[in-house]
Amino acid sequence: MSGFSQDLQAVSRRLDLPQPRKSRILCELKYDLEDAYEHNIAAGMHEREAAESARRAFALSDEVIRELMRIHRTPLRKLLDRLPGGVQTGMERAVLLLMSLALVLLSARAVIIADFHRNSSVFLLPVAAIGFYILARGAEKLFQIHVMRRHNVQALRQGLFMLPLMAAVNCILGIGGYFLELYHSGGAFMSPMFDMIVIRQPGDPGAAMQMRHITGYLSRSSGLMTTVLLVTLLALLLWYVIERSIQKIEYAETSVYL
Amino acid sequence: MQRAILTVPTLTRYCNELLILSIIGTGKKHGYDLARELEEQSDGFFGFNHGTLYPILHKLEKDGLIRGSWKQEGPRRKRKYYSLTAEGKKYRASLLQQWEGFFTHFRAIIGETAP
Repeated sequence: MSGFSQDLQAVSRRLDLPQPRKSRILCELKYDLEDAYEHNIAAGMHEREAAESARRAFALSDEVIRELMRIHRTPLRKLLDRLPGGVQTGMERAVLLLMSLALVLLSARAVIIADFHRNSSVFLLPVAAIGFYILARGAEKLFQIHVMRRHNVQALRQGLFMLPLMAAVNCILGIGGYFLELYHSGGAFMSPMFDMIVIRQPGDPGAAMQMRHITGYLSRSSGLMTTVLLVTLLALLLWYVIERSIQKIEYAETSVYL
Repeated sequence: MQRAILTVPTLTRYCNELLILSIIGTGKKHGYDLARELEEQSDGFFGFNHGTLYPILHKLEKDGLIRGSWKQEGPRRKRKYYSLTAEGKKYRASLLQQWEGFFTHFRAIIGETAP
């Protein structure tokens, strides 16, 4: 740990900036402090005196902190900062809600207009609901990281495990639904699986009905499995991207204090 | 290019900017180097809290007048060095010209009223 770790942590708490900007400023300050300390030691000061003198020389007043935040804030953050505190939270929520709503509506439209969902499986609705949940959750985290630039690692990690968990639930639901549909399609005729397995000859009175059942099953199951795969991929991709972003933030923060 | 307009309320700001740009103009410097050189070259006249340098440096960097680049020094140490950009050189020349104008007018008044 650097001899100035506590000082840097104190500055970090006051400096409300997104990563990696905050860590870059802290890194710059850290090595300037260490240089000043070494220079003071070379000038004949005792260790304690040298550290205190360096701290005094590089003390960041509230005014300096405010100025640094003003320089490094994103345009959106600057705009929000001009609003009163209560309005800020309300506005942030409204923006988040609008973004999520737009995502949900766009995704819903894409699902509804797709041909293979016309004759859909009963399992498609819960799978789609999971997909929307994953989208909303992922969008919320990405919004926090990239738009609001609020880099509280603990808050960002909160609930992130839901993405892979929901991907797993989605897979189980999809595979379960696939076999249940198969059972249902087979059982709808005579005994389970029987009618789909027995190959009927052309001209046989049941052949057309059997073909309709098989086609219906294939259509439903392919629609279901395609959606399951897309939702699972989306969940894992979002989880990976968010996790990597959080890791970068963590790395940037810890590198300053080492 | 940015144009500085030297007025009484902006004197401190443009004084700091010109001092910093002039020191950086002599070669790449990091924050502590810069603070020391300012003090040494002015025999301690321009001695200020080193922490106040950061907002000035970061603002100049954001405006494209200086360029900050990280350099690895040893296995675990990296420093941010600042160098003057072409835009910064022009800006420095413009500031210098305005300061000269300021001193001409200042001396004209001081010189006439001085005992």
